[in-house]
Amino acid sequence: MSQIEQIPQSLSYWQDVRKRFFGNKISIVGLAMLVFLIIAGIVGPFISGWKYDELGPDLLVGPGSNGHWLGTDDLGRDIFTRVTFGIRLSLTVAIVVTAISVFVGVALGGIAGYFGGWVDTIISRFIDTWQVIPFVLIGFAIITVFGSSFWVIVAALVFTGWYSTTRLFRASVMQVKSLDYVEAARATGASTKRIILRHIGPNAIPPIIVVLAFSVAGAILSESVYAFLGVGFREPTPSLGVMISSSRNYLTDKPFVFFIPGSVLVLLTLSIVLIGDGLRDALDPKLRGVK
Amino acid sequence: MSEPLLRVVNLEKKFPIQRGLLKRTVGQIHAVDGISFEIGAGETLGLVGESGCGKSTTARLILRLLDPTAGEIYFNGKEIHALSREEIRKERKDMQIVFQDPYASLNPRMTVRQIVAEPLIVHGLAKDDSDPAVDEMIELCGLSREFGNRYPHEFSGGQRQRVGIARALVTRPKLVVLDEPVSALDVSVQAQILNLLDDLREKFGFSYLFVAHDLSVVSHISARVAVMYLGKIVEIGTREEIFENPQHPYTKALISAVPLANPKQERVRKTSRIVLTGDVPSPANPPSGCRFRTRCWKAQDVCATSEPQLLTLGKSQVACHFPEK
Repeated sequence: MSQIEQIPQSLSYWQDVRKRFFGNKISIVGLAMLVFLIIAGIVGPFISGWKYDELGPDLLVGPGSNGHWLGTDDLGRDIFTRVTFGIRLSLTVAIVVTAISVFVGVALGGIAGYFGGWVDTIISRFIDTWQVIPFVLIGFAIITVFGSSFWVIVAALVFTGWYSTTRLFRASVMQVKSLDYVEAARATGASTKRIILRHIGPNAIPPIIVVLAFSVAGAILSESVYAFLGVGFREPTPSLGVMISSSRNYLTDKPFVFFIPGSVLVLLTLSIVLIGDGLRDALDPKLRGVK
Repeated sequence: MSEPLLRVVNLEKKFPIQRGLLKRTVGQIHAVDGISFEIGAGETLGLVGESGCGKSTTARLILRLLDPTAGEIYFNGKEIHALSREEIRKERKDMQIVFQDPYASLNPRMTVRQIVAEPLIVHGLAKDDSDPAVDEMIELCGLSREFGNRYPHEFSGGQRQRVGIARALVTRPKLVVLDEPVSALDVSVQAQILNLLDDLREKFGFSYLFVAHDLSVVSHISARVAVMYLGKIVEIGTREEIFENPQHPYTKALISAVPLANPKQERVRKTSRIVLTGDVPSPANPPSGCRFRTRCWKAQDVCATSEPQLLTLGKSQVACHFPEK
């Protein structure tokens, strides 16, 4: 009879993922950056001593002057307060957008991928049609008609983002569905519910987690692009895009007004992308056991 | 005559060939084209043929993992072909399958114990994976029970296949379909797995349908052998008859391709080896008459015009116009 030598207690898939994620220096750096920015977003507006829309007498003063840690903008508003508020806003929008897109994507993509046939044909053709409509224009139209409130902007971003998660999850489910162990589960007599919950779900979801991270980063950027183009949040709402947009006139003589919200946007997106990268490696079953 | 455990009558499976955006059906693949056979209780039938001849499709049809286009399957007194999805689900307790690829057939997120326990849980025979029957089956398949908490990626191919066998046998089914269970394994491990399967059958009286492309593997374990070519059974008989007295030219060619262990015999035989030329024709457009005629050295005009029926000849059944004497 075959015997193998004693090997250490085996890790479950998720234990192994955690171990590999935290063993990756780059993903730790991303995580640390994100945690720092989130803390700044939460406590920043409370400790600065200014309100985000409070107009002051000091216009365009540099960082550190008159109690303004990061200076003021052209209306004398405190940049630190506005930037930390912007982090809060950007992240909230991005997370809500991603959550809705993933919910839609898992539901529609799961149905299309699992059942196939005409259901899949309808959903897939609908996505194909949707895709050829230029997404920025849809966003423009929605915001122009309904105004630039939080939920309208979320809706505009979901409209342009839901189909990629749907297509991805559909592909993921179709791939897992065709694997032998799903057929094996059917052959043992497992019910459809059990096959979906125990066999397809746990194996189809990990690729989605990675996309989820990149989709949060993408939503933050899209929101800023909208704001910059004047169809997203508007003054005086302190979105990072709004701040970048309003400060572009001072880019040459007072660059900090532009570069502070700009670099926060870059750092925020970068931290999330780094985490997504680390997750992709950690979740890849082919890399299991690789240190 | 009492009813055998499994009786398959004129089983047929066509796969549509679809093209274009609207999935127009432009043709059909006759994967399995009217085959009939029986398996008695405790018996092993070997089903051999080359890749693409429909043997794996046959295996899946019997288990209703695929729905047959036509034909009847009688198993354990039930009309398998007529059961609803829910009825067939309950029937799976008595009919199980072992897959070819031990790397793809085990869920990477489940421990060995969870995998082996699943059939029991599904059929309400155990509450969870702590049931003693699970560990007992793991040990019967030659694995230590300490391996129960491990994940499939920690095992070798042979060990994984033991897990697959444990999963298939844990409900003590009456019929087990073995779909090329050893062809993905090293030769040294193949023998271990075949012996294990044979031992377990002797112990519990399972019936096997053993699907393989390798006659030497089939001869190891099967009492009867059926040879398939392009969706049809061309010859079926006892192992001794098929090996010592093959009547269909295709069977003869297959047997002459089995390597012999003795190099002297092998050298002598090499001169008389039958080497088939060409490829298997497409099952979307099979040859008229006898399907083997395009590669057969005995083919004559009649082979193109009339299709030979599977007739009893001596102790076997053969579908050929010019069988060997």
